[in-house]
Amino acid sequence: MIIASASEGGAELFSLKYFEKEAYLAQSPQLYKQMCAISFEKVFTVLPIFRAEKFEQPTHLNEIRQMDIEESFATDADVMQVLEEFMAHGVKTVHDACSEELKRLGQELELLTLPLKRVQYSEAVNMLRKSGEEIEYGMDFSKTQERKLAGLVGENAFFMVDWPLELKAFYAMPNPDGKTCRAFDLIYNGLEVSSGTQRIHVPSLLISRLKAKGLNSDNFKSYVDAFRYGAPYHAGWSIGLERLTMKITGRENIREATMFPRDRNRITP
Amino acid sequence: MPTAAEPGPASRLRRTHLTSQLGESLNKEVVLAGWVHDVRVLGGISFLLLRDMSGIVQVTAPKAKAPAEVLKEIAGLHQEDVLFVRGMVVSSKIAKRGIEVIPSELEVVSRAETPLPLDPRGVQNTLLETRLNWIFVVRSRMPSSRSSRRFYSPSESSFFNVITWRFSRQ
Repeated sequence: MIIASASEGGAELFSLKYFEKEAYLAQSPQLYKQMCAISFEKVFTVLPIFRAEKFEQPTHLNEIRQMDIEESFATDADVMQVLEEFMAHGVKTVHDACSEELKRLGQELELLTLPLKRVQYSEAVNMLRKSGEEIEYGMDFSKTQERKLAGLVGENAFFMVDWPLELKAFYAMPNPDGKTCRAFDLIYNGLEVSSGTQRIHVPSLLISRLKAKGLNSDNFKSYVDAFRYGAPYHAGWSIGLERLTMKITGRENIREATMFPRDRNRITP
Repeated sequence: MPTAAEPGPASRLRRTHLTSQLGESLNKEVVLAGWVHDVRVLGGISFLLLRDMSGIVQVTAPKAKAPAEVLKEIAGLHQEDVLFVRGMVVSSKIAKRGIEVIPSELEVVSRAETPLPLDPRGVQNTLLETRLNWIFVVRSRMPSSRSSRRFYSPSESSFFNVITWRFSRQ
């Protein structure tokens, strides 16, 4: 929960005084779960994470619950299969066990058909451009574009794969083309609810990717060193549980998908 | 010295079994994946203790039976290298578990640098400070977390797992 440095570089952190040192609330279990995976092979966790972004959007909270897995001897394709199986299982469980509640919410929950469609990032950009959206290769999708894309793809859930390196974190394993990486997002009912990657387990490659991202590799020394003493290749993902709940229950505002929403204005009850 | 190509982002071989699942695979071919727990190269025979999330199994490569490339690979292995082993499960009077694996193919997917910051086997004593810094190299298992989960949530009438909120005014 309390860490000494930014997990992924970039995103805004809540800082706090930790005796004589400065510490941060973790924005992701990323680096720790990787170390757990190279120790225990297969791990999962459900935990709160914190992002100090000053957004006031209907899809944004500053404290969320996240469900993560990390698996050794697994590639991006392997963990995507785990993710789609988990999603199909989760949706079916709610569908079967909560029909009364869904009816009360006015939500008709569709089951998922596996395997989910895989759409390449570049295909997605082309589809959006053809439909009149202003987006260039290398740009991330806005929430509106994500929703529009879901309509164009015509699936209630699909993966977006082969992301450009510059849009994903430094630890994403590059593809042989040197431009894209083994990263994926899962779009469910028009919203990104999960993302993951195969991670870089080779220290020299990690260092060169940190440099390419303009990050100081010295600040990540203990992380990089963790992969020097027998790190298998590994991959993982995380699901934003409030986002998933929001989309399963058909809510328009994420504040209705958690018991005590923590946003820019609300810290009580 | 190691002859394997630079490890890539995946492996050629795919794991078929964990080391704990070999009891019913006697005289069958399996593919295992894991870490080099220990390696011993003797004159006519080489031994490799392969460790994965479920336990340890002995991989035995007699000079007369194992392919030359496999023997050469084993001679170049170090503690904590990560590899896949394809081989035959056979019974053994000497191996601790009563079974061992005779390898036909090895694929190293990640090499450990030497020396290791500590000995994961616990044979060499390590200072607490070092153990804490490199705990993930010890690769211990924690079965207690599974058992407490079973205790609290075995059925619908049991405890509901909540993760309470961190931010608060007081």
